Amino acid sequence: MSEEILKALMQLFAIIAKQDEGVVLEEEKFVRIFLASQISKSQVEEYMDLFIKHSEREEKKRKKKEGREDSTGQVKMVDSVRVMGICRKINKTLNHKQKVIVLARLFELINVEKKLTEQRMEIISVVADAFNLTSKEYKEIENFVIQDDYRELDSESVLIINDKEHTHTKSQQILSESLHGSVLILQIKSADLYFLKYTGKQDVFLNSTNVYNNRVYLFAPGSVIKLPKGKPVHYSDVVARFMQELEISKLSFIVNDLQYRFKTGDIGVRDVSFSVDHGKLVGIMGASGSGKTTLVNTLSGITTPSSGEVRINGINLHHNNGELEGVIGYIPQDD
Amino acid sequence: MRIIKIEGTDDTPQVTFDANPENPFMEISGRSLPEDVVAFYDPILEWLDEYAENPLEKTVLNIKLEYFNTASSKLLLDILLKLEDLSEADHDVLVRWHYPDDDEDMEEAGEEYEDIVEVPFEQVSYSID
Repeated sequence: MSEEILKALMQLFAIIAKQDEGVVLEEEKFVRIFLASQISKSQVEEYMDLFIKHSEREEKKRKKKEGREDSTGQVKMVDSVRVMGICRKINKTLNHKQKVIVLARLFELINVEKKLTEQRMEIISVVADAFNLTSKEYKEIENFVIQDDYRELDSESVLIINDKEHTHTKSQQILSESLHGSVLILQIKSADLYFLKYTGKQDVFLNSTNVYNNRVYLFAPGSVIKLPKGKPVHYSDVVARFMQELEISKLSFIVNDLQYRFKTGDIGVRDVSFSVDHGKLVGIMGASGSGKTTLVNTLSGITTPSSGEVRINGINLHHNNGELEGVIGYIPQDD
Repeated sequence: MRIIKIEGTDDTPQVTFDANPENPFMEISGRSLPEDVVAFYDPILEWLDEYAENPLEKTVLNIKLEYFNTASSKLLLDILLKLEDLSEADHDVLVRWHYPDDDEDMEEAGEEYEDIVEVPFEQVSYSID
C-alpha cells in the first residue's frame, strides 16, 4: 500500500474510532498490528502518530464544544464529508479487492472492544457506499466480523469447518473431528476473495502461522489451514465447496487413453487417462524430458493427440474446439 | 427552463432552482434529513443535468443549511460534482457556503467539500439573532 493510502486509512480509522467515547487502548493496538502487516517496523510509529493525532485533535475540539451545543448522538457533518473525501482518494488507487479488505478491517477495528455504536456503523456504511459494495456483501462482512457464534452465520457465502452436526440450510460445512470452536470462511464473490477466522482456542495454523481467536485473516490462493486433527484444508478444497453451489460453472475434464507421437515416431505421451472436477488443482510431476510439456500441450488443445481424447463437459477438445473457445487459459514456462 | 421551488419542513430543506436570466437564484437552505434522500434530491440532480446543456454565464449556488445528515452529505456531494463538471467545461461557477458564525461543524464541512471538488467556494458566515 502506498504512503498516501496508508495516510488516508489512518484518517479513516481515526474518524471511526473517535466517535462516541473515543479510541480505547485495544483499538490502538489493533491499528498498530494492522500497520505492522503493511509496512516495516521502523515506520509503524510514524503512522501511529498520525492516527493518534487525527483522533485526538478531533477529541479536543469536541470537548471544547461540549456544553455549547448538543452534538452527541449524531455523526458530525464534517466527519461524513471528510470520510467521503478520503474514500474518493482511496477509490482512485485501490482495486475492489483491496477496498473489501479495508472495509473488513474497519469492522474489525470497532469489534475489538465491541463498541458497535450507531455513529461508528453509520460512518462505515458511508465508506461501503463510496466503495460501491452491494448492501448484501456489506452486511455479510459485518456479520462475519462481528458474530462469534457460527450458528448466527447461515449464509450461502459461508463455509464452516467444525465437528458439530450441521443444521444450517444455506452455509456449507467441512467436518473436522474434535475441533474446539469453528473455522469460518466467508466468500466475497464480487472480489473473488475469502476471509477466515477461528472461534476456538486450539492451535490452528494458516500457512504455518498461528491463527488468533476471532481475528479476521485473508484466505489467499494457495493457502492451507492445519487443524489439530484430521486432514488439512486447502484453498482449492474451499473454492470447490463454493463452486458446487454454482450450477453454471460445473466442469468435468475427462482424458481417455491419450497418446501423442512425435513426427519422428517417438512416443511423447503414452496411455494417459484421468478425470477431474471443477475447482480442483492438479499437479503433474516428472523428470525433465519425460513429456510434461507435451502432455500439457495436448491437454490444452495446442497439439492434437495421435489417439485418445480430451472431453470438457462432454465436448471433444480437439474436434469441437470452437465450442470451447475461452474456456482454457495456458501460461507456459518462459524458456 | 422550469423552476424548482420546494418549501422547507423540519426534515427537508427549502429548495429553489431558478435559471431565469433576469434574476437567477439557486439555493438549498434549512435542514436536510429526508427519509428518502435519493427521492428528494433526484429532481434537483436532473434539473442540473438539463441546466448544464445551456447554462447561464455565471452559476451561483447558495448552500445555507442548518443541519444535514450523513445520507444527505452524499447527495450534496453529487450536486457539487455536477457543478464541478460545469466548471471544468469552462463555465463560471461559484458555491456560496453559508454557516452560522458559531457553528464550527458546518464551517468545516464546507471546507471539506471545498477540498473534495474543484469548484470555487466562498465561505460566508452569518449570525443568528
